[in-house]
Amino acid sequence: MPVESAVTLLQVAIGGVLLGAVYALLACGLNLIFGVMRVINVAHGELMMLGSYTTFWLFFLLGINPLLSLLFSIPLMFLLGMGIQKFLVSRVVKAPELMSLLVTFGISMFILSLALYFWSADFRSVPYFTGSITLGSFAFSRPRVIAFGIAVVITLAVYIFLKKTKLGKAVRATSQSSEVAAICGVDVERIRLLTFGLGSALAAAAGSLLVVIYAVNPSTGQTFILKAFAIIVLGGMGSFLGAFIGALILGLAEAFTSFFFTAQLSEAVAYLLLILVLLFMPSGLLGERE
Amino acid sequence: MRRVIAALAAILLLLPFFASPYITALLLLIFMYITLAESWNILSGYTGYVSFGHVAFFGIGAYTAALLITQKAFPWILASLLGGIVAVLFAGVIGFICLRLRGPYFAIALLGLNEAIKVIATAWESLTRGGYGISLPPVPDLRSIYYAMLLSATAVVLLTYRLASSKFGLRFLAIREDEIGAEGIGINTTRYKHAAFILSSFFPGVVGGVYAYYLSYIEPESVFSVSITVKMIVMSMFGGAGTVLGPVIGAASLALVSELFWAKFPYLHQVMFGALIVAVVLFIPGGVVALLQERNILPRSRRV
Amino acid sequence: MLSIRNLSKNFGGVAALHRCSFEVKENSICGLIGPNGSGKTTLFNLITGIYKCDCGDVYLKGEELTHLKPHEVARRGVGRTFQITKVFTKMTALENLLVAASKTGREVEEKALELLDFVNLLELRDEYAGNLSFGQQKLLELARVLMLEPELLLLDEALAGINPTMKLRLLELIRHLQKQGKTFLIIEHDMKAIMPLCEKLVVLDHGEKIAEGLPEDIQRNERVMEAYFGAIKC
Repeated sequence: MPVESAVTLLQVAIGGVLLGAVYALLACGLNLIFGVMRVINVAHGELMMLGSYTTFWLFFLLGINPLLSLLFSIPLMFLLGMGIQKFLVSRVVKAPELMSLLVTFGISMFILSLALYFWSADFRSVPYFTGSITLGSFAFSRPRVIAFGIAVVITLAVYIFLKKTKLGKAVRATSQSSEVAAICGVDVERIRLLTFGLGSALAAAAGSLLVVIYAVNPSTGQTFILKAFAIIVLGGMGSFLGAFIGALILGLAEAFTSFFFTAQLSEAVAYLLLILVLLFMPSGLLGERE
Repeated sequence: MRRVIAALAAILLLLPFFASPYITALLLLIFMYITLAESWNILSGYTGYVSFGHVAFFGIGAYTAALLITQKAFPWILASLLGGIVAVLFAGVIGFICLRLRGPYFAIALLGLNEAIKVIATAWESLTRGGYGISLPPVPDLRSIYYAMLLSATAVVLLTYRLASSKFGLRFLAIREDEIGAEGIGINTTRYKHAAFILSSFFPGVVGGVYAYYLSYIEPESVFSVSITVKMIVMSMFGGAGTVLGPVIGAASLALVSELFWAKFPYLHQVMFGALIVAVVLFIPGGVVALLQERNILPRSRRV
Repeated sequence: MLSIRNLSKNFGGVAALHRCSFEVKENSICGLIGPNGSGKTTLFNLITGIYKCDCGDVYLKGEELTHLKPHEVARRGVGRTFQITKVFTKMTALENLLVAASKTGREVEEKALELLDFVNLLELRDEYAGNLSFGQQKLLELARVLMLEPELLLLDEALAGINPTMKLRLLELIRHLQKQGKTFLIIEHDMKAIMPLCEKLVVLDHGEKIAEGLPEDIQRNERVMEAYFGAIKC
């Protein structure tokens, strides 16, 4: 293989990984919520979209640095997520899981349509970081590298939180068995509230970073929830690490599809992956079949 | 009861001859939504397999009919029926794959499936003209479309009624209540799930075709729109999923409300539907029919 | 110490527990026996707040537990184990213990290690609990309960399904803990194993308390024999 094409392929691969890290933020949040509550939060994509718009408006109206705006979007969605859990989802956590699915689907539609009403279907982006970073014969888009860096840091921070802290252990314990966790003195309802907030905050972070590298409109959340779902099915439902690996795989798969075929087709990769995994590897890479 | 039904049938049959075109158009949309909501109900209400991608059948019917009408000069009625048949064939294949999934996995797989089809319909420009959409010849007569929609709605409601009062349909319910248990008592659940899936795909395909002809223009975003799935779910659940009358009540009342009060605010009426799903699930999970049954206004029978 | 008063629970019209009352003295070991389906585990679930009772009260040292949530009951010093061992399989042995700690910090971790040592699992502290043998999981569950610093321990079939050596070890641990001042309420099928341990036995049958007293007396009680051994014969 000629050196040049090898360099190109590597470049494509790195591009995939850079995007994959943003997917990972989104998917880890979704999987965290699923793990603890067995609820698939269909509105997760909309929470991400709200994160994007928070960053967009802060930049557009006040000229705030998009990285700084993470400090707004993250707590904002943390609170919104906790609100959704406290007032809506908590009422159906114990009901058949389709009930919670319908509730979050309704919330998703509600937020999406409201966003379309107020902000229209126009695409928006935050062209704050521009240009590229060259490293030898490689060139990387600067916004993507920055988004990647922040995404990895946040994901890692949450991972360490789950592994090392008392609260994180309580979250993991609840996701394995809420009944036994309660017997061990864990306030399960509080953990659920916290988890929904944390998951939503991760979605917000993903959204804030996404708008730096991508043009976003209110419907973007819908596209991304399906990607995130494909990722967690691939990585294993409920597995935080699995979601991270799955996200990188999807990022790579999309990058190569759009390189070898068309960008349009790369949009369908997630769905293809979803169906293939569900058929042939239903427990995912790191998950357990229930 | 029979008299009421006969009178209603007579009114609906004769209506287009003295009603204004606006009323006729409003009613035909209501019939379309009854067809869609009731079809969703056959699968999701009775077997409990909630579909988030049912609009796919509608869209496939619409595209099949539009292509047959514009490229092969098929008469629209035949084209719409073929739209239903293509939807059924598609459901047969997809069901084979997706019905292995349970609960939320199935719901989301179908959501993804519809998105995938939308992507294909957009990308396959040589066939579908992609995002430009397909224009159809203008509609000469609103009445024929009215009758086509009325017929579809009547057929799907009768079908559901037959199902609800048959052993065949009882097995759907058994799957909803406890699939593993149903297998345990010797029900071939795969077969019944497939049956429900296929039955629920035909009429959306047909009305998709009729709708394409009625609108004279289709494009992927409009006929594969998630908002149509949302309406099917809301209407069915608001009226009462898993009942015969529920989706009829839900579709008629919500389509009327949305037409009269909300049509001027396209996104806000979606907002309302989103909020309504949440409200129905949280406060009246059995829908209007269950409320009426509790108050003894409707009989507590599965035939309702 | 623990006082059960008139506790009742129905499941869809079937009485799982009917007007059950008894006391467990501080620093004692009380056995709860009865045939399958007699309401023993239901009683545990009611004490620990997993089920809500239909009527009656539960008091611990004069403090009402009746309407508390499971984690609140746990924090008030009631620990329990499960009939089918429930450890967090995807967490290490040490992490299993740390979940149950009320505080964080060095001391807590030291205490957890101490307890793992106490149940002979110290070397396996970083092993995933799912990889432990059944008996080891039982020991781990016991150690985890002790992390709560409970005054009262509810053990659900602690001795079932483990080998005789492990059984002796567990009985020894229970005695040891009693000497430290803990109180026990133990569900057990193996009457022989439990008789010498307990100061008192409570017998349930079909959700009702049919007898209560010294093990020797219970052994001679005709009604108990009928319920207990009659049921086994069937």
